Amino acid sequence: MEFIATSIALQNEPVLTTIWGHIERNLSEIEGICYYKSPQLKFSFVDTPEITLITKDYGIFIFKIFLQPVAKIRTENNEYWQLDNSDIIYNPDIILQDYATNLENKLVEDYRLRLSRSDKRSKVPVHTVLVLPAIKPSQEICDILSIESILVGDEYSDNTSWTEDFLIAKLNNFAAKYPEIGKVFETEKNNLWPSTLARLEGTSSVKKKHKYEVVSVPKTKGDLLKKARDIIFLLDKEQRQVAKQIPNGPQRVRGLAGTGKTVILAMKAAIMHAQLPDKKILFTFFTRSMYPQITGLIELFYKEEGYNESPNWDNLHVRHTWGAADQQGFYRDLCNNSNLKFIPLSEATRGNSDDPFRYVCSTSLELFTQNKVSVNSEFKYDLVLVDEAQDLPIEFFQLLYEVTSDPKRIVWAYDEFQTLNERRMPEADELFGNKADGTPKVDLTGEYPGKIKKDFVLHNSYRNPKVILMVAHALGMGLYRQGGIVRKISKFEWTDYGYQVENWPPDDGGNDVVICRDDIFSQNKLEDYCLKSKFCNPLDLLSLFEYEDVDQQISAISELVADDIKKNDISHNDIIIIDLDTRNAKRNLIKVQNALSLHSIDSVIPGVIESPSVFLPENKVTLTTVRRAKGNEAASIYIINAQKAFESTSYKTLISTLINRNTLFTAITRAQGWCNLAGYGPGMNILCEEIAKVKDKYPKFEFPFSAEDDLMTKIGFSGKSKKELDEIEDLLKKFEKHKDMLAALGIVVSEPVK
Amino acid sequence: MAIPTMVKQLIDSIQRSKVVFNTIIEYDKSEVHNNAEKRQYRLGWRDFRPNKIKNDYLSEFKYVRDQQQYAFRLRNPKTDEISFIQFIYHFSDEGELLEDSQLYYYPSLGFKGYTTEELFDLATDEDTCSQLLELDGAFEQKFDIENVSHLRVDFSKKYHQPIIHPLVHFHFGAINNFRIALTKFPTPFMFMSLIAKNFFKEEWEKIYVLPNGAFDKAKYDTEVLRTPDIINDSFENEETFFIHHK
Repeated sequence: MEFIATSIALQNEPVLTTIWGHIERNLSEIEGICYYKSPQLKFSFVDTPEITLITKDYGIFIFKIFLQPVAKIRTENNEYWQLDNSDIIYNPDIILQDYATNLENKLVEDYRLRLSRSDKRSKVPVHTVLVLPAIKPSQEICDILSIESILVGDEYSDNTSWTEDFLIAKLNNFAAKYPEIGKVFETEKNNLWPSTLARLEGTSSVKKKHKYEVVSVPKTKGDLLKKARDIIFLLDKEQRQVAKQIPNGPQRVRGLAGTGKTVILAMKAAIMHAQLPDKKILFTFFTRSMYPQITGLIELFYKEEGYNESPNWDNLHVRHTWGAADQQGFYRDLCNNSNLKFIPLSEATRGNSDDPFRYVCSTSLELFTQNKVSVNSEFKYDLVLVDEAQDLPIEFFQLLYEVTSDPKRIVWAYDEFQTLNERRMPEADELFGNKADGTPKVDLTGEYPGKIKKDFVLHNSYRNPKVILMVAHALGMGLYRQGGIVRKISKFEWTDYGYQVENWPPDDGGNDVVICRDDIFSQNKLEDYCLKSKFCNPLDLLSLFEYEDVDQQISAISELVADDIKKNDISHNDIIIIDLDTRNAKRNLIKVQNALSLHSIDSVIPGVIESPSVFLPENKVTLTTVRRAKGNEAASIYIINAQKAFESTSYKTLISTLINRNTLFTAITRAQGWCNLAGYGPGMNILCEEIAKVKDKYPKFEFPFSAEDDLMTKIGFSGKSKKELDEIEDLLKKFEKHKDMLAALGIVVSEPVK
Repeated sequence: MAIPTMVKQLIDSIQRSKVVFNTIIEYDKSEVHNNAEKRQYRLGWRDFRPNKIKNDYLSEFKYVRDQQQYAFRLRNPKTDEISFIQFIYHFSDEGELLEDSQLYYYPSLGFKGYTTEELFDLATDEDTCSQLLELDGAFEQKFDIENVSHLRVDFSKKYHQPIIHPLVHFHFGAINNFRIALTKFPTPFMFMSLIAKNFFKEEWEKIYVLPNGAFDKAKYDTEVLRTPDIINDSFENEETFFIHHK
């Protein structure tokens, strides 16, 4: 049994805690999930029954706990109860039955859970139990209430009321009463389980209803893709914990590309909004192209909570970090709601050409620390969700801290590998700074009440086939790079990333490091079906294409894309073409657009031609750069000018190579199915060699252990600004110019490392 | 089935536009759509949808741009700004009869902020540059726009009433009820030539102005005279394009 305490700890109610404790102790071995006040099914928070047990073997149990201390209940009619103090309250059993009906209706929205075409009852038994802990057990009460499942006074605190036997007894009772359901449930319960979970946890709508037929033996890439998409999306344990629980303070979520960070943050926003519609929620992120995805997901999950209308966007703000004149954004909102003056980009760029956003944040923050900022008192958030946190400067987090109400529910999710600049993601204490007494404002040790973790690592990767993820890691870290590893990670971190360390030599060297990618953490279904249907070797999901020059590359790639669409049955918006040659991207991508047009294929270049938010529109291929592709994904990815990640001719570009390797990592990990790397020139040799080594040892990495520092540490990369690096570059050029003279003095300038 | 003569002439005209104005036309989405059942032809662009937004040029421009509702996307090599040409020709009776047609030009917004090139100059390296591009909406002054309307030539048999609603007319800005009557309906090439002459002066001069600075009338006439007729006689020069309203 998994326990999702959601907000139980915030209730501060000893009786609830006792019952929760009983269940945790006695039912932990049962397969299922125990929720506190979830799903809410459009009930008010107060009315929502306290505990819902979703079990695989016994069905669903709903416990409504009526806490009011009364000695006697009198009923005039069944609808109202009169209490000792002559208060009249609505019969909680009716609320419980209404809730059970709603829950059952939710289940039978899935045809698989309906008994038959004519009998629309749920195949999964739904049991209700009214718990009246403050009422002494007596025959009289049971008679008056005439409720079958009731636990009163001593019974509720009796341990035997919360055991498997209790559940079995209830199920038997149910089966005796409705033999037809009991029989079906007994034989089908394993098959019913995924649909039951998807319905009740609100993930069933993630899969779009499709009009196409799913073929059992895939003949084209498109068939395979349809089959891979025809699955029920279920939360895994880690995702459930993050998505469903509202922490009583800051929370960190780390996870690789494709572990579902955005999806579960969207779910968290929707759930909190449904539960507490008056609370202010902010969902913020850096890349503008993510708007359609994020608002779409939030709407979807909100509707899953039982609402037909859209969320109240006045209280649930989805904002990118900056803001534009025609589009709201966090920074713009902050300026509009305070005496801060909006700093235009031109000024920000003069302030910090490397990172203008950092400049606006730090300038604003400085004014905050000097107490010169007065923010409109309504501009306060109760929950802040930050996606792609790795792209944001620490000052931004400190600004968020300023505008978040206590207990500072700031949840930030990131993937360390996806930093597109030199920053490593800072630890929580660096991120938020210290209090006046010197202790960190945010401390991630320990847990929040309700056993809610403060720090999560999402291990399961759903997006990428294993080979694609492994190639991305190998290239990103430079595991097989001549001249040494670019970014070294510890044994512990490898495990965090979902790998198994098979051999880790001692610091003084020895054998190779051997690391294996665990199958259980690679949950990509496409790869799975690829294997099962013998469609192709999963290793072929990643392909390399080498060309003579840029123009040949563009026309050849356009042909491949045309084949994907016309022969392989892949949709336009399942394809993204990413240009790694950022500086010439505009020119290159317009050429690609024209080349595709010759095949009558339409395409968009969001942010260059169209608005940045026009990403993956229907019937069009999306052409873009890595920065814009971030946070997005597609079945088939084409990376052009891949050689750019390996071109290093001087010291300075060596440094950008580190960034470029990261960039390449991000580009590759956009692929849900196929990743095609294309390029030309000498850089491609390096790429081909390194990929060959990955495929050779697949599914393992075997590389020589080095006790030496990695390249990043060696060149002190992380601490240097671009300006400093430019100065070093100039200096080295001067050295090279006068190297003969220096050699005479005994100073040797070595060639740049490629 | 053979392509009807008039349709073929228009396709030639589009092709010639692309050859002659290749430095301006960045992207061609034009398409010939044939509805065999209804014996209809339509010259337009891929993914054609009727225009919706017509009251605010900024939104209209964005709609045309983002939904790719254009036949040609033009780029001004000097300012790096984009603009669009739409042409729609509806034919009935197997392409022999022109029913209605519109030609639109959507001039660039003429932002008074930074151009992409200026952005690149501002940035010190490519990574910052792409970051700046990400933030393209962060400029306030960018939304000061110079151009506030499309230009449009209409041909409509359906609404035609002598004098009141001329068969062929030019609209002044986006004002619907003001029509300047024309003698003929332009081909895509003729329209493109008019736009180039007025909005892409330098590029147009490269084509139609001799090295000594004189107007190359011979070339202009040849190219323009080759333009086939759609409604009436061919256009000889721009003067006959407009007539006085009598």
